[in-house]
Amino acid sequence: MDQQLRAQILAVLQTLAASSPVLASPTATEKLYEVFVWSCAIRSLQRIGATLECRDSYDRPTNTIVFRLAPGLIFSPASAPGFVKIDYNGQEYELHGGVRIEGRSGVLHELDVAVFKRDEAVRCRQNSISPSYSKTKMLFECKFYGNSLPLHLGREFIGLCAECSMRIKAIASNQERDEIRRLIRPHRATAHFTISPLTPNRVDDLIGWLATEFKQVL
Amino acid sequence: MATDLSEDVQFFIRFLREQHLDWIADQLVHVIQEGHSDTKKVRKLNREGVTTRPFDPQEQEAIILDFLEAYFVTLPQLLPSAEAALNDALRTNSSERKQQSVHIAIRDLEEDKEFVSFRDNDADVGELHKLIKSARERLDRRV
Repeated sequence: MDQQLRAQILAVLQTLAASSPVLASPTATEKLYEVFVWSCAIRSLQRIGATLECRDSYDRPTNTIVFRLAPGLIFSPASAPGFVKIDYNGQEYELHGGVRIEGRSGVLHELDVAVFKRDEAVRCRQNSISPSYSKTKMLFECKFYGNSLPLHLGREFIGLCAECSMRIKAIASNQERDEIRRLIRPHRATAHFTISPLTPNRVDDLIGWLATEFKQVL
Repeated sequence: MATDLSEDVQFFIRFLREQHLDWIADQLVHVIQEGHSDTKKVRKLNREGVTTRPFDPQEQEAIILDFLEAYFVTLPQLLPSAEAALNDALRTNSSERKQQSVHIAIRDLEEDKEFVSFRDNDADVGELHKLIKSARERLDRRV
């Protein structure tokens, strides 16, 4: 790399690193990406004409949606994230980010972005239990990386798909890896790669795809 | 795979470690040491096989630029972009047509306080993005 350009890059990086507490841990960077993918789901719901309302973890209307750095339990307001209540075609659902659900085996799994039937979510909050995969309408696994995704993420995602069978199962990332796309295809899951604010056309493709899928399952 | 880290990689790894961003430095080293995988036809066996070779210095430079763009350009835009999308959707699709904008907060459970992701750095992010584009253009001309 040209020495002068490298020095210029370093100068800006030093300022940015000092003003970016989020970079201190990978957990926080992953969470920011989950929130971004969650907002893509919001835009898909907007596109299909769903009515949306922000709620806090106690299921009260709010003007601040709170996400948690660690995965939460839907029935524990101290750990659960806020969510968006969805009204569509006379049915109610909830869009969450970072909550645990019960898979086919009864084991809990964290879903980065998920849509639940509203009656299931309310029942879980009232009875201190986690939502069942069978009442989950959509799941997204979100991965933010510096470059090519590690292959083990694809293998882990297959495990999640086996535990949580549903039509909309997808992995989203700012990066890509063709092997992961091939790995998950037989499991009827979808890969949405190179999704970020720097790639608006890719984001628009994701929103369009998800809007079409929402029309099928909601 | 034994891959010699290029001088540029070593330079930026030193910077990342000085800034206590070891987890990004480790990820960068891991990607480069994993090498480049290609699928090619193996005639003898009449099937495709995967081969792996070390990244050359120019490929390593492209990887560094990807890392810098992801963590220092893309990342700061995620939350503002999500908040804008949410508020736009609520303006058109909320039953109450609220005028008050909705804020997205990330809370650290252990400390129970709002997590600050970035401090006002739009100008620096824009500047870095330009420099990365310029570095990519120069790299493309060299390849």
